Amino acid sequence: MVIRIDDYSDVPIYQQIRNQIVMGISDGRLAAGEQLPTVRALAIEMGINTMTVSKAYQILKSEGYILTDRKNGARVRPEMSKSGALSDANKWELKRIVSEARLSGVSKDELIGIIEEGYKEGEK
Amino acid sequence: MTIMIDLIMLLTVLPVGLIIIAIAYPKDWRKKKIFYGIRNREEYLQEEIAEKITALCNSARKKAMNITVDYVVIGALIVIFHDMPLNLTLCVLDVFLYIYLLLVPFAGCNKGIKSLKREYGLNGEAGVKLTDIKAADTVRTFKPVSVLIPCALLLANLVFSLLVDLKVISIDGYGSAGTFSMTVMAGILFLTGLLMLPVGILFDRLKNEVISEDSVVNANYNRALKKCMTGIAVSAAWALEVLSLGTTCFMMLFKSEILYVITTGVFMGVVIASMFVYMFKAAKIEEWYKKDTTIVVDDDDKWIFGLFYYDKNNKRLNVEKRVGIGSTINMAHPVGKVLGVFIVCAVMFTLLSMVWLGFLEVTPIHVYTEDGKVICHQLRDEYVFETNSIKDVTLVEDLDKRSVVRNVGTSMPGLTKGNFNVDQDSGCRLFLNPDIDVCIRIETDSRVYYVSNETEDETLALYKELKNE
Repeated sequence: MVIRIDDYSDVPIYQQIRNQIVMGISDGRLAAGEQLPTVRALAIEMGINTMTVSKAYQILKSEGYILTDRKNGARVRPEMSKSGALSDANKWELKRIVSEARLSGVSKDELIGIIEEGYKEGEK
Repeated sequence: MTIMIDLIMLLTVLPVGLIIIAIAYPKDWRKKKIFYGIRNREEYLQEEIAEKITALCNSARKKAMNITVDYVVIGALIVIFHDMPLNLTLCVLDVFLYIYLLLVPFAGCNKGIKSLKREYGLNGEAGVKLTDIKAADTVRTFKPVSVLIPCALLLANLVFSLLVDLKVISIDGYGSAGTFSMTVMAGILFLTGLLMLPVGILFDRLKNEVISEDSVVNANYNRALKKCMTGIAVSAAWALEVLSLGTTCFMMLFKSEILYVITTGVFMGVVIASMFVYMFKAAKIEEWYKKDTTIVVDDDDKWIFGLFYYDKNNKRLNVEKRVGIGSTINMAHPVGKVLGVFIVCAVMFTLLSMVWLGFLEVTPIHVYTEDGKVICHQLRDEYVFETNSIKDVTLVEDLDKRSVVRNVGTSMPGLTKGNFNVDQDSGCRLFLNPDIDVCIRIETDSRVYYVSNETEDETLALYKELKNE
Protein backbone atom coordinates (compact mmCIF):
# COMPACT_ATOMS: atom_id res chain seq x y z
CA MET A 1 0.00 0.00 0.00
CA VAL A 2 1.46 3.29 -1.14
CA ILE A 3 1.33 6.39 1.08
CA ARG A 4 1.79 9.76 -0.55
CA ILE A 5 3.15 12.51 1.69
CA ASP A 6 3.33 16.11 0.55
CA ASP A 7 5.79 18.18 2.59
CA TYR A 8 4.28 21.41 1.27
CA SER A 9 0.65 20.51 2.02
CA ASP A 10 -1.34 22.45 4.65
CA VAL A 11 -2.40 19.11 6.16
CA PRO A 12 0.09 17.99 8.83
CA ILE A 13 2.14 14.91 7.91
CA TYR A 14 0.73 12.77 10.75
CA GLN A 15 -2.75 13.59 9.49
CA GLN A 16 -1.79 12.66 5.94
CA ILE A 17 -0.49 9.29 7.19
CA ARG A 18 -3.61 8.73 9.29
CA ASN A 19 -5.96 9.61 6.42
CA GLN A 20 -4.25 7.35 3.93
CA ILE A 21 -4.11 4.38 6.29
CA VAL A 22 -7.85 4.80 6.92
CA MET A 23 -8.44 4.91 3.15
CA GLY A 24 -6.25 1.81 2.77
CA ILE A 25 -8.28 -0.08 5.37
CA SER A 26 -11.54 1.10 3.80
CA ASP A 27 -10.72 0.01 0.24
CA GLY A 28 -9.10 -3.26 1.33
CA ARG A 29 -5.49 -2.44 0.47
CA LEU A 30 -4.82 -3.09 4.14
CA ALA A 31 -6.57 -6.27 5.20
CA ALA A 32 -8.19 -6.80 8.58
CA GLY A 33 -5.58 -8.01 11.07
CA GLU A 34 -2.70 -7.07 8.75
CA GLN A 35 0.57 -6.17 10.39
CA LEU A 36 1.72 -2.57 10.03
CA PRO A 37 5.40 -1.58 10.09
CA THR A 38 6.88 -0.44 13.38
CA VAL A 39 6.93 3.29 14.11
CA ARG A 40 10.71 3.37 13.68
CA ALA A 41 10.75 1.36 10.44
CA LEU A 42 8.05 3.51 8.86
CA ALA A 43 9.72 6.74 10.00
CA ILE A 44 13.08 5.64 8.56
CA GLU A 45 11.46 4.50 5.33
CA MET A 46 9.61 7.80 4.92
CA GLY A 47 12.53 9.91 6.09
CA ILE A 48 10.45 11.64 8.77
CA ASN A 49 10.56 11.95 12.53
CA THR A 50 9.47 8.91 14.57
CA MET A 51 7.24 11.19 16.67
CA THR A 52 5.20 12.03 13.56
CA VAL A 53 4.50 8.37 12.80
CA SER A 54 3.89 7.68 16.47
CA LYS A 55 1.28 10.44 16.57
CA ALA A 56 -0.47 9.04 13.48
CA TYR A 57 -0.57 5.56 15.03
CA GLN A 58 -1.89 6.96 18.32
CA ILE A 59 -4.75 8.70 16.52
CA LEU A 60 -5.53 5.55 14.51
CA LYS A 61 -5.55 3.54 17.73
CA SER A 62 -7.77 6.01 19.57
CA GLU A 63 -10.19 6.00 16.63
CA GLY A 64 -10.30 2.21 16.71
CA TYR A 65 -8.73 1.51 13.32
CA ILE A 66 -5.61 -0.25 14.58
CA LEU A 67 -4.47 -2.23 17.60
CA THR A 68 -1.04 -1.86 19.15
CA ASP A 69 0.77 -3.91 21.73
CA ARG A 70 4.39 -4.30 22.76
CA LYS A 71 4.65 -7.86 21.50
CA ASN A 72 3.01 -7.68 18.09
CA GLY A 73 3.46 -4.02 17.19
CA ALA A 74 0.67 -2.35 15.22
CA ARG A 75 -2.01 -4.27 13.34
CA VAL A 76 -5.20 -3.34 11.54
CA ARG A 77 -8.14 -4.10 13.82
CA PRO A 78 -9.63 -7.46 12.73
CA GLU A 79 -13.19 -6.25 13.20
CA MET A 80 -14.13 -2.62 13.02
CA SER A 81 -16.79 -1.37 15.40
CA LYS A 82 -19.48 -0.10 13.06
CA SER A 83 -21.46 2.62 14.80
CA GLY A 84 -23.47 3.33 11.65
CA ALA A 85 -23.03 7.07 12.10
CA LEU A 86 -20.59 9.68 10.90
CA SER A 87 -18.70 11.67 13.51
CA ASP A 88 -19.53 15.37 13.82
CA ALA A 89 -16.10 16.26 12.46
CA ASN A 90 -16.65 14.09 9.39
CA LYS A 91 -20.16 15.50 8.86
CA TRP A 92 -18.67 18.99 8.96
CA GLU A 93 -15.93 17.91 6.50
CA LEU A 94 -18.53 16.40 4.17
CA LYS A 95 -20.55 19.61 4.29
CA ARG A 96 -17.44 21.55 3.37
CA ILE A 97 -16.77 19.24 0.42
CA VAL A 98 -20.40 19.50 -0.76
CA SER A 99 -20.23 23.31 -0.52
CA GLU A 100 -16.99 23.49 -2.48
CA ALA A 101 -18.35 21.04 -5.07
CA ARG A 102 -21.48 23.17 -5.51
CA LEU A 103 -19.40 26.34 -5.86
CA SER A 104 -17.17 24.59 -8.40
CA GLY A 105 -20.20 23.60 -10.45
CA VAL A 106 -20.10 19.87 -9.67
CA SER A 107 -23.58 18.41 -9.90
CA LYS A 108 -25.25 16.43 -7.13
CA ASP A 109 -25.27 13.29 -9.29
CA GLU A 110 -21.59 13.65 -10.04
CA LEU A 111 -20.77 13.94 -6.34
CA ILE A 112 -22.97 10.97 -5.48
CA GLY A 113 -21.18 9.07 -8.28
CA ILE A 114 -17.84 9.77 -6.61
CA ILE A 115 -19.20 8.59 -3.27
CA GLU A 116 -20.58 5.43 -4.86
CA GLU A 117 -17.22 4.80 -6.49
CA GLY A 118 -15.58 5.02 -3.06
CA TYR A 119 -18.07 2.53 -1.66
CA LYS A 120 -17.48 0.17 -4.60
CA GLU A 121 -13.70 0.27 -4.07
CA GLY A 122 -14.25 -0.75 -0.46
CA GLU A 123 -16.46 -3.66 -1.47
CA LYS A 124 -13.88 -5.17 -3.87
CA MET B 1 59.18 1.72 -13.11
CA THR B 2 57.77 5.27 -13.38
CA ILE B 3 56.55 4.66 -16.91
CA MET B 4 54.93 1.43 -15.67
CA ILE B 5 53.09 3.28 -12.86
CA ASP B 6 52.06 6.04 -15.30
CA LEU B 7 50.72 3.50 -17.78
CA ILE B 8 48.81 1.49 -15.17
CA MET B 9 47.28 4.66 -13.74
CA LEU B 10 46.32 6.13 -17.10
CA LEU B 11 45.04 2.88 -18.56
CA THR B 12 43.01 2.02 -15.46
CA VAL B 13 41.27 5.38 -15.42
CA LEU B 14 40.44 5.41 -19.15
CA PRO B 15 37.86 2.57 -18.92
CA VAL B 16 36.47 4.27 -15.79
CA GLY B 17 35.95 7.43 -17.82
CA LEU B 18 34.39 5.48 -20.68
CA ILE B 19 32.06 3.71 -18.26
CA ILE B 20 31.08 7.09 -16.77
CA ILE B 21 30.30 8.34 -20.30
CA ALA B 22 28.34 5.18 -21.14
CA ILE B 23 26.24 5.51 -17.97
CA ALA B 24 25.96 9.25 -17.42
CA TYR B 25 25.78 10.31 -21.07
CA PRO B 26 23.24 7.93 -22.67
CA LYS B 27 22.96 7.88 -26.46
CA ASP B 28 19.18 7.67 -26.39
CA TRP B 29 17.69 9.49 -23.41
CA ARG B 30 14.17 8.35 -24.36
CA LYS B 31 14.92 4.80 -23.21
CA LYS B 32 16.26 5.84 -19.81
CA LYS B 33 14.29 6.13 -16.58
CA ILE B 34 16.68 8.85 -15.42
CA PHE B 35 18.97 10.77 -17.78
CA TYR B 36 21.40 13.55 -16.84
CA GLY B 37 19.93 13.46 -13.34
CA ILE B 38 16.42 14.16 -14.71
CA ARG B 39 13.53 11.75 -14.24
CA ASN B 40 12.05 10.89 -17.60
CA ARG B 41 8.46 11.97 -18.18
CA GLU B 42 6.00 11.33 -20.99
CA GLU B 43 5.73 15.08 -21.65
CA TYR B 44 9.35 15.13 -22.82
CA LEU B 45 8.43 12.99 -25.81
CA GLN B 46 6.48 15.85 -27.43
CA GLU B 47 8.33 16.72 -30.62
CA GLU B 48 9.35 20.30 -29.82
CA ILE B 49 10.71 19.69 -26.32
CA ALA B 50 12.22 16.32 -27.36
CA GLU B 51 14.27 18.04 -30.06
CA LYS B 52 15.64 20.58 -27.57
CA ILE B 53 16.49 17.88 -25.03
CA THR B 54 18.23 15.80 -27.72
CA ALA B 55 20.32 18.82 -28.74
CA LEU B 56 21.36 19.44 -25.12
CA CYS B 57 22.21 15.77 -24.55
CA ASN B 58 24.20 15.45 -27.78
CA SER B 59 26.18 18.59 -26.98
CA ALA B 60 27.00 17.32 -23.46
CA ARG B 61 28.03 13.89 -24.79
CA LYS B 62 30.26 15.50 -27.41
CA LYS B 63 31.94 17.65 -24.74
CA ALA B 64 32.54 14.56 -22.57
CA MET B 65 34.12 12.75 -25.53
CA ASN B 66 36.35 15.75 -26.22
CA ILE B 67 37.49 15.76 -22.59
CA THR B 68 38.34 12.04 -22.96
CA VAL B 69 40.35 12.70 -26.12
CA ASP B 70 42.23 15.51 -24.33
CA TYR B 71 42.94 13.14 -21.42
CA VAL B 72 44.31 10.45 -23.75
CA VAL B 73 46.50 12.95 -25.66
CA ILE B 74 47.91 14.50 -22.46
CA GLY B 75 48.40 11.00 -20.98
CA ALA B 76 50.23 9.84 -24.11
CA LEU B 77 52.50 12.91 -23.97
CA ILE B 78 53.27 12.21 -20.30
CA VAL B 79 54.19 8.60 -21.13
CA ILE B 80 56.26 9.56 -24.21
CA PHE B 81 58.20 12.23 -22.31
CA HIS B 82 58.40 10.19 -19.11
CA ASP B 83 61.89 11.52 -18.29
CA MET B 84 60.69 15.09 -17.83
CA PRO B 85 60.37 16.51 -14.33
CA LEU B 86 57.02 16.35 -12.53
CA ASN B 87 56.05 13.34 -14.62
CA LEU B 88 54.12 11.51 -11.89
CA THR B 89 52.52 14.70 -10.57
CA LEU B 90 51.30 15.62 -14.06
CA CYS B 91 50.00 12.09 -14.54
CA VAL B 92 47.96 12.20 -11.30
CA LEU B 93 46.70 15.71 -12.10
CA ASP B 94 45.65 14.51 -15.56
CA VAL B 95 43.67 11.67 -13.97
CA PHE B 96 42.05 13.91 -11.37
CA LEU B 97 41.12 16.64 -13.82
CA TYR B 98 39.71 14.09 -16.25
CA ILE B 99 37.34 12.57 -13.69
CA TYR B 100 36.16 15.95 -12.36
CA LEU B 101 35.88 17.66 -15.74
CA LEU B 102 33.75 14.76 -17.00
CA LEU B 103 31.03 15.91 -14.62
CA VAL B 104 30.95 19.48 -15.95
CA PRO B 105 29.00 18.84 -19.22
CA PHE B 106 26.66 16.57 -17.21
CA ALA B 107 25.88 19.37 -14.76
CA GLY B 108 25.45 21.81 -17.66
CA CYS B 109 23.00 19.53 -19.43
CA ASN B 110 21.05 18.97 -16.21
CA LYS B 111 20.75 22.72 -15.73
CA GLY B 112 19.67 23.18 -19.34
CA ILE B 113 16.91 20.56 -19.11
CA LYS B 114 15.66 22.06 -15.84
CA SER B 115 15.41 25.46 -17.57
CA LEU B 116 13.47 23.81 -20.39
CA LYS B 117 11.08 22.29 -17.84
CA ARG B 118 10.41 25.73 -16.38
CA GLU B 119 9.94 27.17 -19.87
CA TYR B 120 7.29 24.54 -20.68
CA GLY B 121 5.67 24.70 -17.25
CA LEU B 122 6.60 21.14 -16.36
CA ASN B 123 6.90 21.59 -12.63
CA GLY B 124 8.27 18.91 -10.39
CA GLU B 125 6.85 17.47 -7.19
CA ALA B 126 9.77 18.15 -4.91
CA GLY B 127 7.67 17.94 -1.74
CA VAL B 128 6.03 14.62 -2.58
CA LYS B 129 7.27 11.42 -0.96
CA LEU B 130 5.91 8.00 -1.79
CA THR B 131 6.27 5.08 0.58
CA ASP B 132 5.08 1.54 0.29
CA ILE B 133 4.32 0.70 3.91
CA LYS B 134 4.34 -3.03 3.19
CA ALA B 135 7.96 -2.78 2.02
CA ALA B 136 9.18 -0.87 5.09
CA ASP B 137 11.78 -2.93 6.95
CA THR B 138 10.98 -6.09 5.01
CA VAL B 139 13.08 -5.88 1.83
CA ARG B 140 16.49 -7.13 2.95
CA THR B 141 19.09 -8.98 0.90
CA PHE B 142 22.42 -8.40 2.65
CA LYS B 143 23.95 -11.21 4.69
CA PRO B 144 26.79 -9.81 6.86
CA VAL B 145 28.50 -13.19 6.90
CA SER B 146 29.25 -12.82 3.16
CA VAL B 147 31.54 -9.88 4.05
CA LEU B 148 32.76 -11.26 7.37
CA ILE B 149 34.34 -14.33 5.72
CA PRO B 150 36.76 -12.32 3.51
CA CYS B 151 37.32 -10.00 6.49
CA ALA B 152 38.37 -13.01 8.60
CA LEU B 153 40.85 -13.98 5.86
CA LEU B 154 42.13 -10.38 5.75
CA LEU B 155 42.58 -10.53 9.50
CA ALA B 156 44.52 -13.79 9.17
CA ASN B 157 46.79 -12.07 6.67
CA LEU B 158 47.24 -9.14 9.05
CA VAL B 159 48.19 -11.48 11.90
CA PHE B 160 50.66 -13.29 9.62
CA SER B 161 52.28 -9.99 8.56
CA LEU B 162 52.47 -8.91 12.20
CA LEU B 163 54.14 -12.17 13.22
CA VAL B 164 56.68 -11.73 10.40
CA ASP B 165 57.37 -8.14 11.50
CA LEU B 166 57.71 -9.27 15.12
CA LYS B 167 60.13 -11.92 13.76
CA VAL B 168 58.08 -14.74 15.28
CA ILE B 169 57.91 -16.17 11.76
CA SER B 170 61.01 -15.78 9.61
CA ILE B 171 60.97 -15.75 5.82
CA ASP B 172 64.25 -16.37 4.02
CA GLY B 173 65.52 -13.32 2.15
CA TYR B 174 62.75 -10.96 3.32
CA GLY B 175 64.64 -7.90 4.51
CA SER B 176 61.75 -5.66 5.57
CA ALA B 177 60.86 -7.67 8.69
CA GLY B 178 60.62 -5.31 11.64
CA THR B 179 59.68 -2.27 9.55
CA PHE B 180 55.96 -3.06 9.90
CA SER B 181 55.36 -1.85 6.34
CA MET B 182 53.53 -5.07 5.40
CA THR B 183 51.60 -5.02 8.68
CA VAL B 184 50.45 -1.47 7.96
CA MET B 185 49.46 -2.46 4.42
CA ALA B 186 47.58 -5.58 5.64
CA GLY B 187 45.96 -3.47 8.38
CA ILE B 188 44.72 -0.89 5.87
CA LEU B 189 43.31 -3.62 3.63
CA PHE B 190 41.63 -5.31 6.61
CA LEU B 191 40.02 -2.05 7.75
CA THR B 192 38.91 -1.29 4.18
CA GLY B 193 37.41 -4.79 4.00
CA LEU B 194 35.68 -4.25 7.31
CA LEU B 195 34.27 -0.99 5.95
CA MET B 196 32.34 -3.05 3.41
CA LEU B 197 30.11 -4.25 6.26
CA PRO B 198 28.50 -0.83 6.98
CA VAL B 199 28.51 -0.10 3.24
CA GLY B 200 26.52 -3.31 2.61
CA ILE B 201 24.13 -2.48 5.45
CA LEU B 202 23.67 1.09 4.14
CA PHE B 203 22.86 -0.20 0.65
CA ASP B 204 20.47 -2.75 2.12
CA ARG B 205 18.61 -0.12 4.13
CA LEU B 206 18.12 2.36 1.33
CA LYS B 207 14.60 3.69 0.94
CA ASN B 208 12.51 1.38 -1.21
CA GLU B 209 11.50 3.04 -4.43
CA VAL B 210 7.82 3.06 -5.30
CA ILE B 211 7.16 2.24 -8.93
CA SER B 212 3.72 0.67 -8.68
CA GLU B 213 0.56 0.56 -6.58
CA ASP B 214 1.21 -3.17 -6.25
CA SER B 215 3.31 -3.81 -3.15
CA VAL B 216 4.56 -7.15 -4.51
CA VAL B 217 6.00 -5.41 -7.58
CA ASN B 218 7.67 -2.78 -5.40
CA ALA B 219 9.15 -5.39 -3.08
CA ASN B 220 10.51 -7.55 -5.91
CA TYR B 221 11.95 -4.56 -7.76
CA ASN B 222 13.70 -3.20 -4.67
CA ARG B 223 14.93 -6.66 -3.64
CA ALA B 224 16.52 -7.17 -7.06
CA LEU B 225 18.17 -3.73 -7.02
CA LYS B 226 19.46 -4.11 -3.46
CA LYS B 227 20.91 -7.52 -4.28
CA CYS B 228 22.92 -5.78 -7.01
CA MET B 229 24.11 -3.01 -4.69
CA THR B 230 25.06 -5.22 -1.76
CA GLY B 231 26.83 -7.49 -4.25
CA ILE B 232 29.29 -4.64 -4.83
CA ALA B 233 30.23 -4.57 -1.13
CA VAL B 234 30.70 -8.36 -1.06
CA SER B 235 32.77 -8.36 -4.28
CA ALA B 236 34.94 -5.51 -3.00
CA ALA B 237 35.63 -7.39 0.26
CA TRP B 238 36.74 -10.49 -1.68
CA ALA B 239 38.82 -8.40 -4.11
CA LEU B 240 40.57 -6.79 -1.11
CA GLU B 241 41.31 -10.24 0.29
CA VAL B 242 42.88 -11.30 -3.03
CA LEU B 243 44.90 -8.07 -3.10
CA SER B 244 46.08 -8.61 0.47
CA LEU B 245 47.09 -12.19 -0.31
CA GLY B 246 48.81 -11.10 -3.54
CA THR B 247 50.68 -8.31 -1.75
CA THR B 248 51.93 -10.71 0.94
CA CYS B 249 52.99 -13.34 -1.60
CA PHE B 250 54.74 -11.00 -4.01
CA MET B 251 56.42 -8.75 -1.47
CA MET B 252 57.35 -11.31 1.17
CA LEU B 253 57.77 -14.59 -0.67
CA PHE B 254 58.71 -13.57 -4.24
CA LYS B 255 60.11 -10.11 -3.34
CA SER B 256 58.88 -8.66 -6.62
CA GLU B 257 57.67 -5.06 -6.63
CA ILE B 258 56.65 -5.31 -10.31
CA LEU B 259 54.34 -8.24 -9.56
CA TYR B 260 52.90 -6.22 -6.68
CA VAL B 261 52.19 -3.25 -8.97
CA ILE B 262 50.60 -5.62 -11.50
CA THR B 263 48.47 -7.19 -8.73
CA THR B 264 47.28 -3.72 -7.73
CA GLY B 265 46.44 -2.99 -11.37
CA VAL B 266 44.56 -6.29 -11.67
CA PHE B 267 42.71 -5.50 -8.42
CA MET B 268 41.63 -2.12 -9.78
CA GLY B 269 40.58 -3.78 -13.02
CA VAL B 270 38.52 -6.42 -11.18
CA VAL B 271 36.81 -3.78 -9.02
CA ILE B 272 35.94 -1.68 -12.07
CA ALA B 273 34.76 -4.74 -14.02
CA SER B 274 32.55 -5.89 -11.15
CA MET B 275 31.09 -2.38 -10.86
CA PHE B 276 30.35 -2.51 -14.57
CA VAL B 277 28.71 -5.94 -14.25
CA TYR B 278 26.49 -4.77 -11.38
CA MET B 279 25.55 -1.59 -13.22
CA PHE B 280 24.65 -3.66 -16.27
CA LYS B 281 22.53 -5.91 -14.05
CA ALA B 282 20.81 -2.86 -12.52
CA ALA B 283 20.07 -1.50 -16.00
CA LYS B 284 18.53 -4.87 -16.92
CA ILE B 285 16.37 -4.77 -13.78
CA GLU B 286 15.15 -1.27 -14.72
CA GLU B 287 14.32 -2.52 -18.20
CA TRP B 288 12.55 -5.57 -16.82
CA TYR B 289 10.34 -3.53 -14.50
CA LYS B 290 9.63 -0.76 -17.01
CA LYS B 291 6.32 -2.34 -17.97
CA ASP B 292 5.27 -2.50 -14.30
CA THR B 293 6.15 1.12 -13.59
CA THR B 294 2.93 3.05 -13.12
CA ILE B 295 4.06 5.72 -10.66
CA VAL B 296 6.54 8.45 -11.53
CA VAL B 297 7.25 11.31 -9.13
CA ASP B 298 9.31 14.17 -10.51
CA ASP B 299 11.69 15.12 -7.67
CA ASP B 300 14.42 16.60 -9.88
CA ASP B 301 14.48 19.80 -7.85
CA LYS B 302 15.95 17.88 -4.92
CA TRP B 303 19.01 17.07 -7.06
CA ILE B 304 21.55 19.86 -7.52
CA PHE B 305 23.05 19.42 -11.00
CA GLY B 306 21.54 15.92 -10.93
CA LEU B 307 24.47 14.85 -8.76
CA PHE B 308 24.00 16.15 -5.22
CA TYR B 309 20.87 15.31 -3.25
CA TYR B 310 19.57 18.13 -1.04
CA ASP B 311 16.27 17.72 0.80
CA LYS B 312 15.91 19.30 4.21
CA ASN B 313 12.55 17.59 4.76
CA ASN B 314 14.15 14.16 4.42
CA LYS B 315 15.66 12.84 7.63
CA ARG B 316 17.50 10.05 5.81
CA LEU B 317 21.24 10.37 5.42
CA ASN B 318 21.69 8.16 2.39
CA VAL B 319 19.57 7.94 -0.71
CA GLU B 320 19.85 5.96 -3.92
CA LYS B 321 22.14 7.49 -6.52
CA ARG B 322 20.77 8.94 -9.72
CA VAL B 323 23.86 8.16 -11.77
CA GLY B 324 25.43 4.74 -11.49
CA ILE B 325 24.73 2.31 -8.70
CA GLY B 326 24.85 2.61 -4.93
CA SER B 327 23.92 5.42 -2.61
CA THR B 328 24.80 9.03 -2.05
CA ILE B 329 24.36 11.36 0.91
CA ASN B 330 21.67 13.90 1.62
CA MET B 331 23.59 17.16 1.73
CA ALA B 332 20.85 18.78 3.84
CA HIS B 333 21.35 16.22 6.64
CA PRO B 334 23.71 17.50 9.40
CA VAL B 335 25.99 14.47 8.92
CA GLY B 336 25.74 14.98 5.15
CA LYS B 337 26.99 18.55 5.55
CA VAL B 338 29.97 17.39 7.62
CA LEU B 339 30.72 14.62 5.10
CA GLY B 340 30.38 17.10 2.23
CA VAL B 341 32.93 19.44 3.83
CA PHE B 342 35.18 16.45 4.54
CA ILE B 343 35.00 15.26 0.92
CA VAL B 344 35.78 18.76 -0.41
CA CYS B 345 38.73 18.98 2.02
CA ALA B 346 39.94 15.50 0.98
CA VAL B 347 39.83 16.45 -2.71
CA MET B 348 41.61 19.74 -2.04
CA PHE B 349 44.17 17.96 0.13
CA THR B 350 44.88 15.40 -2.60
CA LEU B 351 45.32 18.10 -5.24
CA LEU B 352 47.53 20.22 -2.96
CA SER B 353 49.55 17.11 -2.06
CA MET B 354 50.19 16.56 -5.75
CA VAL B 355 51.36 20.14 -6.13
CA TRP B 356 53.53 19.78 -3.01
CA LEU B 357 55.09 16.53 -4.29
CA GLY B 358 55.76 18.22 -7.63
CA PHE B 359 57.38 21.11 -5.79
CA LEU B 360 59.55 18.65 -3.83
CA GLU B 361 60.55 16.93 -7.05
CA VAL B 362 61.92 20.09 -8.63
CA THR B 363 63.54 21.44 -5.46
CA PRO B 364 67.24 20.42 -5.45
CA ILE B 365 68.61 18.42 -2.52
CA HIS B 366 71.74 19.48 -0.74
CA VAL B 367 74.01 17.53 1.64
CA TYR B 368 76.81 19.42 3.39
CA THR B 369 78.86 19.48 6.55
CA GLU B 370 78.73 22.31 9.06
CA ASP B 371 79.94 22.62 12.66
CA GLY B 372 80.83 18.93 12.83
CA LYS B 373 77.43 17.85 11.52
CA VAL B 374 76.23 16.33 8.28
CA ILE B 375 73.06 18.10 7.16
CA CYS B 376 70.70 16.76 4.50
CA HIS B 377 68.66 19.75 3.39
CA GLN B 378 65.68 20.17 1.08
CA LEU B 379 63.32 23.01 2.00
CA ARG B 380 64.22 22.14 5.60
CA ASP B 381 66.89 20.08 7.38
CA GLU B 382 65.65 16.51 6.88
CA TYR B 383 68.47 14.53 8.49
CA VAL B 384 71.21 15.81 10.76
CA PHE B 385 73.88 13.66 12.41
CA GLU B 386 77.26 14.24 14.04
CA THR B 387 80.33 13.56 11.89
CA ASN B 388 82.03 11.90 14.86
CA SER B 389 79.18 9.34 14.99
CA ILE B 390 80.20 8.08 11.53
CA LYS B 391 81.72 4.60 11.60
CA ASP B 392 82.22 4.02 7.90
CA VAL B 393 81.87 5.91 4.60
CA THR B 394 81.79 4.13 1.24
CA LEU B 395 81.03 5.23 -2.29
CA VAL B 396 78.23 3.22 -3.88
CA GLU B 397 78.08 3.04 -7.66
CA ASP B 398 75.64 0.17 -8.09
CA LEU B 399 72.63 1.20 -6.05
CA ASP B 400 70.35 0.63 -9.04
CA LYS B 401 71.40 -3.03 -9.03
CA ARG B 402 70.61 -3.49 -5.36
CA SER B 403 67.25 -4.32 -3.83
CA VAL B 404 65.76 -1.05 -2.60
CA VAL B 405 62.38 -1.42 -0.89
CA ARG B 406 60.53 1.59 0.44
CA ASN B 407 59.08 1.43 3.93
CA VAL B 408 57.98 5.03 4.35
CA GLY B 409 58.94 7.94 2.19
CA THR B 410 59.04 9.47 -1.27
CA SER B 411 60.28 7.73 -4.38
CA MET B 412 60.00 10.00 -7.39
CA PRO B 413 62.01 10.31 -10.59
CA GLY B 414 64.23 13.08 -9.20
CA LEU B 415 64.04 12.34 -5.49
CA THR B 416 64.33 9.36 -3.17
CA LYS B 417 63.81 10.25 0.44
CA GLY B 418 62.71 8.35 3.52
CA ASN B 419 62.99 5.00 5.25
CA PHE B 420 64.07 2.18 2.92
CA ASN B 421 65.58 -1.29 3.03
CA VAL B 422 68.70 -1.62 0.90
CA ASP B 423 69.76 -5.26 0.51
CA GLN B 424 70.31 -6.47 4.06
CA ASP B 425 70.39 -2.94 5.57
CA SER B 426 66.87 -2.48 6.92
CA GLY B 427 65.48 0.88 8.03
CA CYS B 428 68.07 2.95 6.12
CA ARG B 429 67.57 6.67 5.58
CA LEU B 430 67.83 7.54 1.90
CA PHE B 431 68.32 11.12 0.76
CA LEU B 432 69.46 11.11 -2.82
CA ASN B 433 68.94 12.05 -6.39
CA PRO B 434 68.39 8.68 -8.15
CA ASP B 435 69.25 10.20 -11.54
CA ILE B 436 72.96 10.27 -10.76
CA ASP B 437 75.07 7.10 -10.71
CA VAL B 438 76.84 7.47 -7.37
CA CYS B 439 75.84 7.89 -3.78
CA ILE B 440 77.51 7.67 -0.40
CA ARG B 441 76.77 4.98 2.16
CA ILE B 442 77.32 6.42 5.65
CA GLU B 443 77.15 4.07 8.60
CA THR B 444 76.66 5.82 11.92
CA ASP B 445 76.27 4.52 15.43
CA SER B 446 72.51 4.38 15.12
CA ARG B 447 71.66 3.81 11.44
CA VAL B 448 72.80 3.67 7.81
CA TYR B 449 72.34 6.62 5.42
CA TYR B 450 72.52 6.62 1.64
CA VAL B 451 72.95 10.21 0.48
CA SER B 452 73.91 12.09 -2.62
CA ASN B 453 73.99 15.66 -3.79
CA GLU B 454 72.17 17.06 -6.78
CA THR B 455 75.13 16.33 -9.11
CA GLU B 456 77.78 13.62 -9.32
CA ASP B 457 80.66 16.09 -8.85
CA GLU B 458 79.12 17.55 -5.70
CA THR B 459 78.56 14.02 -4.37
CA LEU B 460 82.17 13.02 -5.01
CA ALA B 461 83.38 16.23 -3.32
CA LEU B 462 81.23 15.44 -0.27
CA TYR B 463 82.58 11.88 -0.22
CA LYS B 464 86.18 13.16 -0.17
CA GLU B 465 85.35 15.63 2.57
CA LEU B 466 83.72 12.96 4.76
CA LYS B 467 86.51 10.50 4.06
CA ASN B 468 89.14 13.08 5.13
CA GLU B 469 87.27 13.86 8.33
